[in-house]
Amino acid sequence: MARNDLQGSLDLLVLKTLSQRGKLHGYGIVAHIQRASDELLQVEEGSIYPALHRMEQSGWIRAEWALTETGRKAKYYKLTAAGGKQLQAAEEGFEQLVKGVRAMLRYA
Amino acid sequence: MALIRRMVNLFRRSRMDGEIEAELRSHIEMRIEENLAAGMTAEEARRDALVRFGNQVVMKERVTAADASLGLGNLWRNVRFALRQLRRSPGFALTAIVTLALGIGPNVAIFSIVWATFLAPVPYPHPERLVVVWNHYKGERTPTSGEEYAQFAAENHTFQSLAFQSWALVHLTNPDHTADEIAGFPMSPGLETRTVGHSLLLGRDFQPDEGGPRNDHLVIVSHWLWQNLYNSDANILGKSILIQDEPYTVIGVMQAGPRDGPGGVQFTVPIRLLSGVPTNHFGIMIGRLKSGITLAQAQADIDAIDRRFMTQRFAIVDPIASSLTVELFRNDWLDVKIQRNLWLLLASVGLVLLIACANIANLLLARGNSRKQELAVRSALGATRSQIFVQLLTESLLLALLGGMTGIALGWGIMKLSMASFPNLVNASSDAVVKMNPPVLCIAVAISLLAGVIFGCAPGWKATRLNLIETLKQGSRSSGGRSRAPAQSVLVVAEISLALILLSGAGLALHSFWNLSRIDLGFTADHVLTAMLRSREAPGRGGMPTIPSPQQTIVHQHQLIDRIRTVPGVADAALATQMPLHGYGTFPFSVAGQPVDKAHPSLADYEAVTPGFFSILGVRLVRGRFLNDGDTLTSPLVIMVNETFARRYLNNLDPLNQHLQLPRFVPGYHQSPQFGQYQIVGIFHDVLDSEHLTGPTQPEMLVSQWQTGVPGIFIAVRTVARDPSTVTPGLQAAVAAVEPTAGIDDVENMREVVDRQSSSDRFEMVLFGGFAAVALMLAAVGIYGVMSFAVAQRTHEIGVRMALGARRSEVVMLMVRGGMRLALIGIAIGLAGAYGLGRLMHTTLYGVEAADLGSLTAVAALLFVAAMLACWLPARRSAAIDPMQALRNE
Repeated sequence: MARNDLQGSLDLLVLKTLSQRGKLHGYGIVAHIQRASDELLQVEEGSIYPALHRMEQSGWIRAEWALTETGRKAKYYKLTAAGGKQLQAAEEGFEQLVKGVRAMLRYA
Repeated sequence: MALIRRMVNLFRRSRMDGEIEAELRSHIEMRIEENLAAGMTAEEARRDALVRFGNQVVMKERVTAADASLGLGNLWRNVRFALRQLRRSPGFALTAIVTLALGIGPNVAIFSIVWATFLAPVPYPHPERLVVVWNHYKGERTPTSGEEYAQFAAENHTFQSLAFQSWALVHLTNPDHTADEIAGFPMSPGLETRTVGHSLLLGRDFQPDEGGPRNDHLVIVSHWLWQNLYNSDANILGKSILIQDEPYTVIGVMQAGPRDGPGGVQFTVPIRLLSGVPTNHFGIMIGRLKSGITLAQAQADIDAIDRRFMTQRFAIVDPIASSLTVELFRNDWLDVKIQRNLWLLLASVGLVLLIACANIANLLLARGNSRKQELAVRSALGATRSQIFVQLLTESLLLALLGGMTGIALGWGIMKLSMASFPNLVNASSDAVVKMNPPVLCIAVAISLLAGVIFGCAPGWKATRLNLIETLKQGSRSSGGRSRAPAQSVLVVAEISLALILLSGAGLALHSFWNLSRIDLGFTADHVLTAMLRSREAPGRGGMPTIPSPQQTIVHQHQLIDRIRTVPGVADAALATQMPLHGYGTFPFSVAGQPVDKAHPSLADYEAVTPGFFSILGVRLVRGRFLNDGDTLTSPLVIMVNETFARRYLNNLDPLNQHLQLPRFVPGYHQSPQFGQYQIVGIFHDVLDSEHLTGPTQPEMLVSQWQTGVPGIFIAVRTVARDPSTVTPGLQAAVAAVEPTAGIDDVENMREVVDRQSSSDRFEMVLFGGFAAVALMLAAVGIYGVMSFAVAQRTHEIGVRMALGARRSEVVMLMVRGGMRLALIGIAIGLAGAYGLGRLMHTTLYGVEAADLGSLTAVAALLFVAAMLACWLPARRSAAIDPMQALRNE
């Protein structure tokens, strides 16, 4: 349960990043999450790749190889229509979770 | 889509690997670049990047897993692993595959026959609306009269069309007057096209007004007939062919199809049936329901009309013993007995499969025990229980599929063989095509997979309950304790009891067949050919045909017999009004001088034969004398009766001094019959006259044809040749020479007539016997396997016993006793099941009780001996154990 929720949050972060920034490679996504969350969210950087590939297989994001600004070959990810829907659902789910948790904390 | 992508990924594994590596590497390099830009040294930048990234190998594995998840990658890995495991122990794999093939093959074969004969939908448009209306009388399907059909056709509200097929065969005549076996049916117009939906290749169907007295000489021929007899003549329409020696105009040719072929309907002629007009046509009704009408609605409609008809026609208000049922048109025209046998056979091959499954489960359990360590190591290395379970199940399913393939091939062979050995079996149903078709193959694969799940679950489940620490600590040595393999014991008991049930079925079938083959026919069937002498003068058209006087007929028939005797290969010939096994009639008679009960006259079959009949058919004389050539029109009337007659009607009388009062045959049509007084001159041993071998024999009276002179008659010929049918052409020529206006029909080899009677019993016996043999073998192998395993496991214990002074024979007995205890429990359970099977089979058996002690004892003894042998062979090995060796092995 807990593991799934964590994974779910990572998915949400990735999808959100891609929806805000358009095309991005794995390193860019990690860097964006770290910057945007004021370095609060720290994950093992490698663990983003299983998530990216799983989402690619589920059809939420699409990948293609391209060159970075520094001329390095990297795999760029982009949100698909299905991914957009998934992001919406994930955001709503997360809001629910947060509300639930907050309610719990207040109740105590 | 996602699934397909993942499957594609499976096949691009190596390229994917490269891509993933490149992607991860580029991430680390980007981080290093950034670290360098932030002012770290090269060494620091690299270390920081690696630490932040985490374990590269694990990440790569997880990414790969994400690409090929949904278990597909695992499945492929499992299958490859399973294949490797099987290749590593080819002996085990081969045993399991052969065992499974033996279990699945018979199922495939019998199922293909059952499918084609009862289950498959008929290959016509909208088969769900095609029905047959059967008349049931005393539990049997009987035909409906044409007159009643006409009323149904006129008054029903639920049928789109209702048609009638008469059972009165008509025969095609060759222009050269040689008789032919090709028969066709009269049908009401529109049956083939409008009701069944079988379209015509050429021409048109009969019109509704055709089939009356002036427009019934029309014929539609089958595709087979058109091809074979008329060489696919494209201009056949409008041509004339001879049927019963009368010209019929061909108006149509049917499409090639399932009803087509040498066994099927070869041509149809129209009949028009009108309600209220009695006919002598009896047959079946085939109908097509209006769309949206259910069987129940049609049934109610038919019942209402049936009640009306019975009231109007016969003044019967209450329903009598007969009833009409509306049933889906299916390939179930078979004898009830054959149907029952097929279902029983299907159940019995199911048992064979269960035994095979038990056997393989046993093999797998034994193997699981020897693989304990491997599995323990794997789970110690982190394999979850479900992973191990799935792995073992994959192995089982793989085995099941391999065995299933072999089984399908084997089943195909069994099916071909049984169809070739018993061609009559499904001939009665020309709509049935027995072959391996997709439904049969699907079922075969489904059965195989089901079998795989059945025998794969037990070992898999057991493997997941391993006590890791114990297993690893003990090394390869097995655990002690008394009941070391309860699962195996249960399986062996199950196998033995199932095998006993099957064996008892085979025993019952064998016993029944033995009884049948020893039925006293009362005549010798070998070297006898019979044929029907059929006058080809048009019957009943344009007035009555002239019937010659008895004198003329007798002179003619003497000539006929003399002529037939000259045919090469013929030893003797005789004429008779009926042949054995062809049914009987009942005639009233009285014994002269005895009181007559007018309400219940004495009845007996009454036939005329020429004297040669007795020697040709080998009829046995009990008392008195046979009829002979000295009995003529001018000598006193004489008669012979059979033993049943003498027992029933002449019980307290001296039979040879009695006279019977009987109607005499006189040509022409008379209002009141003339009676004659017949002196009984002899009693003959009962000759079977029922159409079934097992039917009761009627009281029978035989008079001499030379005192009677009846025209239409059977010919019986005793031949010298081993195969009586070789004289058929000579017989035809002889008849044609003496009787230019007659031909012969229904030429039959008497031996074949007898064999046909018992063919379904032979089918049951051979197949049951074959499957039971397989079951016996599998069960024996099962015990053998378990015993071998037990001996191997108990080597240490045996060594200790021997070291303590146990004799070798005692050790062997100890092992055998263990196995035989299981066998005896299995036999006891099996006997109960065998009794149940006997009750089910009872009605199809002849002269055998449901609990047939003789055959039950025999099969139980057989199984006991087989089990004993299967226990003793491996147990003997235990005696060869060297105690020192066994103990040192520790």
